[in-house]
Amino acid sequence: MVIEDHDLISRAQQGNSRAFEQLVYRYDKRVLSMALSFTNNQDEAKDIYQEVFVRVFRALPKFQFRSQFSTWLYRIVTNVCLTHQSRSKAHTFVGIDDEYTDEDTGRASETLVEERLADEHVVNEEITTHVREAMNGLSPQQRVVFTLRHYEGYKLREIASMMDCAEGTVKKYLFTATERMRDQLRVVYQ
Amino acid sequence: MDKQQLKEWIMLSLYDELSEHEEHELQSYLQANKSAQSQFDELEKLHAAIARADKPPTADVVLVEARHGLRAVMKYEQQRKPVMRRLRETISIWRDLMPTLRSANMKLALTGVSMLLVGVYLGMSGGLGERGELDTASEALGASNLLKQPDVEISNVRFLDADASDGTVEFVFEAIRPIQIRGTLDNPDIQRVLAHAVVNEQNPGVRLRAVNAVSTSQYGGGPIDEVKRALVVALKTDPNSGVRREAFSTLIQLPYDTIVKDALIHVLMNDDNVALRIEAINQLQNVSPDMIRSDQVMVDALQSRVDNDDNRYIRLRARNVLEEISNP
Repeated sequence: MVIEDHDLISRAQQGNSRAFEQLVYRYDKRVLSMALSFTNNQDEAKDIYQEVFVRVFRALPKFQFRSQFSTWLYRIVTNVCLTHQSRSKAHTFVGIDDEYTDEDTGRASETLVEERLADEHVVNEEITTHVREAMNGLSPQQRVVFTLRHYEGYKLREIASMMDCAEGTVKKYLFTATERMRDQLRVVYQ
Repeated sequence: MDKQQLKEWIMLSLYDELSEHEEHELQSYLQANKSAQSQFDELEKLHAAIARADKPPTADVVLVEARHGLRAVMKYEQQRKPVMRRLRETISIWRDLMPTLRSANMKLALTGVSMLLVGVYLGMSGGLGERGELDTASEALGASNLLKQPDVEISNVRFLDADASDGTVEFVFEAIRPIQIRGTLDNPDIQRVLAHAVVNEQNPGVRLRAVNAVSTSQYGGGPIDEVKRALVVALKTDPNSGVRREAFSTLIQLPYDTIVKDALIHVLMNDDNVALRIEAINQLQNVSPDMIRSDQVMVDALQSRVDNDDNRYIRLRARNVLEEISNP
């Protein structure tokens, strides 16, 4: 039988570490995926992942079920992502991992039999690079909203709830981000 | 429709955020207005380009590493619990363990290393606020007596306040003392130590030997849940694939219950090793169809394999199981 979040949270609040662990396993893949989408760097994503669950652990005793656990959790994720980016302003998101990816992709494309597939792959790689570069130019808030909408597929009202702000504010971030992306990527899509 | 509203609606349409009525209204407007249509087309191209950009994959190995890192951090977090609570827990563990230690013949069968956290806390801010309580805690833990023992090793000293100008310092350290214990493998305390080793030992060789010890043991009443859960944790998070494989092999030999089911589903859904996934799905032969039928999580997992698994055998086998349970 699947244990409901409510039960797991209650047990975890009473100090049951196994319940907390189960709670982590229930959501951590999504959290890591969000962190990876946001940072595009495995090590940084792991840092965010860790910080998120430590914050959850510390704050869980005060969680009062006024919102869904997932909403509360993803609010923490967005906060940690925002803090993380402001902490590492100087750092560029095109990192070592990307170099490895490029190497791997190079090897993979050599083995592709059909040229069409190889071409498509290369084009996608190029687009990916451009999109990542364009995303680096966004403000942390715009970046979070853009990531949550495009890569994680959340609706605007859900993002507003995660970021604890009005839906109109989220719209504004998203529209500005899209405008900026349009300017940066015009050469790619036209 | 004014310019600003058009711009907003185009964006919202592409993000699938317009109501049906609004969408219909927008489309009618676009049909009648070429300039608006070209704005829409341009943004649509942008969305298509962004959609073609690969999302960074969440590789299982990254998840496993992240979980392992978290476990290490959580150990430290749990140490931050208030001292009195920790003290009660420590006393409780030792009270449980003492009869075993007294009755054991102390011939070496297993060497367990008990990590006894003995902190000297002077004015610690995170745990306690009152000096008197701290001193009491230290005394109750027998820190002073323990430090007089010849076989105690002190390690991992972490200063919380190294400034001795006010005559006090504050630090945490680990006092490690080897404990020998001999007992049969159906002894819950022995199992508890093994479970701890499976999950927490740094050395993968020790973790593997601990899993092996669990898997080869003769249990009277089966392993305690703590052992089973430790095996599941190893299966899900151990960075060493040999340890994961051994943990899985051990788990599937145990009677089917929620813990074993959790392990099977985890492997079926997450393990990138085809052989392990095949082993997992083959194990379902030993589970009664009624049990699978009544378990929506298992049914969903099987359906997911039918739809998504790269391996043909697994897809077929999952489909067969689903057919079997739908035709009782």
